[in-house]
Amino acid sequence: MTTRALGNYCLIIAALLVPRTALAQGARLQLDHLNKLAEKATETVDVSADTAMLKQAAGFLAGKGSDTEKMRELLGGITGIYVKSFEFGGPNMYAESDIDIIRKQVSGPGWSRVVSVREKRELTEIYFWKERETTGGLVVISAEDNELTVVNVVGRVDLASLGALGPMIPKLPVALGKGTPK
Amino acid sequence: MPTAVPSPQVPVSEDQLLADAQTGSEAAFAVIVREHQAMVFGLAFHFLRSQAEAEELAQDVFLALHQHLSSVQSARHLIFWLRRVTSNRCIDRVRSSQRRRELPMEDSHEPHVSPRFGDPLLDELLQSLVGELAPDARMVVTLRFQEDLDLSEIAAIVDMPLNTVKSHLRRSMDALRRKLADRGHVYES
Amino acid sequence: MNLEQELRRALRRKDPPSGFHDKVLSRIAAGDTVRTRATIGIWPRVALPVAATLMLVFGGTYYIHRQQEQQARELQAQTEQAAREVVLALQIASEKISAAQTKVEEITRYDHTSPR
Repeated sequence: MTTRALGNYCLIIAALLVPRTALAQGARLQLDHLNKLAEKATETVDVSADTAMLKQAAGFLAGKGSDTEKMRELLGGITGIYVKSFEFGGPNMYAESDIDIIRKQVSGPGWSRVVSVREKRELTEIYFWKERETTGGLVVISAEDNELTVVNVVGRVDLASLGALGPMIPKLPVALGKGTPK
Repeated sequence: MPTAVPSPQVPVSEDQLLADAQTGSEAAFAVIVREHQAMVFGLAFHFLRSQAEAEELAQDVFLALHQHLSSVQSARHLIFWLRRVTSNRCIDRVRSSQRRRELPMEDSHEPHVSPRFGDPLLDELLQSLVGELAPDARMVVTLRFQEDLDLSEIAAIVDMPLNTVKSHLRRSMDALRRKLADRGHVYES
Repeated sequence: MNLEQELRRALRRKDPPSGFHDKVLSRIAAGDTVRTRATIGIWPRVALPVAATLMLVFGGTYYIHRQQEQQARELQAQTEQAAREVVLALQIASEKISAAQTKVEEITRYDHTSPR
């Protein structure tokens, strides 16, 4: 076997050995490792909305008022929304490693962290995924003592419109201030 | 035909607009349509729970207005007229309709609602539950909360005794509270 | 919010779809008229025995119609649940992003106002 062939062989083996949970397909993350937290949570929100479900939802929302029309317009560019949110009865119900598995996925090509705010007991991180100057996804990690929420939006995300559902700014600044990234 | 209602203070321009429309100004009538279309369509939509049917009915109301414009006595009367005709047409349509509109309670599904985040479709739920009320009660509730009318005004519009209107409203609110409580939304009386 | 306030919001006036205004004016220009309640009132007396006859003749199709209605209701329920979940997801996303923005603004304000 030539050196080059051996090298390629090693690369293939290495790729196969990388845990599936560590691989993100473009802007879509793998979040199934968080499912085990549901057993300990007092309340769980688990939404996996793919293109078909989003289309169904958009159809339902049609013609139901201007607020829902805004949501419908927002959904037009989105191909998937995945939310895992857990509320616990007390602290220490999830591990930092649960978040690290997600951070590993958003450290790959195309991902950039735009917000990282860490206060005493709260952490919020927001990541964008971009391909050829087009924002194709978004991840929000919100971790508190007794709550962990991860939101993954895949597709063309209009932050201004998403913010219109609640208070929002059109552009998020690069991480700054007291939450400066490590 | 709707009876006259004494007109309190209204901006002169509203009465002038009506007068112009009554003397044949299509432009003035067009303004009248635009000013009142949200009220008429809203009543029809919340009552019939169908955008297509509400649009059709609302168009008919304005056509009827155009036909009977000369009988409208003031801008205030115009609003009363529109509410009255819209209510009558809504109730007539439901009573003559063969299509089942209400969801039988044994078939209704209980949606999962997050106690933490509430029901993101609360408005839709409320509209749906109001849509399950009997026609007369449904119109009383819709007039009360869309138009913020007092009960005597509602009684005049729907041509019902005041005590009947009060009874419809009280029973409807009790029924709505019960159905909402079943779905995790608790409101005090 | 109490129930009355929720109902005022849920039952607020609603704009018709775009083009409604033009459709009304077009129908008037075309000379369309509508029946008033006096003429509508004649109908029920004639319609009732006719309807009863039709019900006897078409009774069989009624059961098929019931089945279709049942399926339509189930589909409606599924669609509504899908919409509920999607809207919930958007709300959560919006809430978390808003919270992050608020924190960033607070930090920025603190950094600008703190003594050097």
